Amino acid sequence: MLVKKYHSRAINIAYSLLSNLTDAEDAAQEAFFNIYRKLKDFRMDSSFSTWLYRIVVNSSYDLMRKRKVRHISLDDIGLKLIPITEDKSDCLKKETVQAALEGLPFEYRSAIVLREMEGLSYEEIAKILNINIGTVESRIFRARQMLKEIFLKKGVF
Amino acid sequence: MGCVYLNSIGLYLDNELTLDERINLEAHIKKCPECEIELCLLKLAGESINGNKIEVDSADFLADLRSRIIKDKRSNQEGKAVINDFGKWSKRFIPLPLVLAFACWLLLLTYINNNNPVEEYIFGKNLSDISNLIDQPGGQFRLGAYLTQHPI
Repeated sequence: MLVKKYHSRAINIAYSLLSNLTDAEDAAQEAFFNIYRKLKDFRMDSSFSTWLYRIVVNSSYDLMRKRKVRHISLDDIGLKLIPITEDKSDCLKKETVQAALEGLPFEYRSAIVLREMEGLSYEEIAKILNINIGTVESRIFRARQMLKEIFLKKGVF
Repeated sequence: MGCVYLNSIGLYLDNELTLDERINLEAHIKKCPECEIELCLLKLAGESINGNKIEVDSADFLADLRSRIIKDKRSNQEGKAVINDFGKWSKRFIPLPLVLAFACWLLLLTYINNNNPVEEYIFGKNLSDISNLIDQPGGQFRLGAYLTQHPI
């Protein structure tokens, strides 16, 4: 039940962090496998989703280090100017966004993905990443600024 | 030098401002083109991440996870079985207390034979000193052990 409910979110977070679907599925598998093994040790002092997100982020980070995922610049994938339509969220192709996310350091990427994709509060993100709220605030701020600059530089906006 | 409100726009988007701060910022944005553009750009950047979601094939993922868990359970059970088998085997073939008792008995015999010429006391010229043997620490025991082995 838990896996069915959360696996899609887990894979999406891992995909945003790793930019590769196979790696994302591996990271999510690893996360759920760790959860299965550690479920009896789970303390109810945090919500299950917070715990899950923490494990997914950690699994993704471990996998990224293991595979040494390289940071791809937008030039590498030959971005094109995409016409802005009325629904602005659709104006950016997935690969464009993914490449832009890859341009961010992992700690900024994880904070902004948890905020934007899952809509988590700064407090929840702080618990997941085991950092204080001030650090979350500055990481999200810097991540947004970097994304904005990448998109502007490439003429995406 | 940008507008002083620029740094608050991210917090505004994330609902991390108080009500008063929110009202102030909304009033400011209406008058400040720089902040208005910043709000649009940051909003768009955020939405782009949210729109980056992918469809996931649940069936494969769940099947893979299930088979991995089953495999892990089996390997755990096999590990336990190996430990249990060794326990049974050792109980059957190595009765440890018996082995220890036998080793102690051998050591004792060696000690007695090497360090205590009991025979000399009993059969030899030192027969008159047998009382000295009995008075020595462990003397009675050594004599008893000898007589058990060599009944007169």
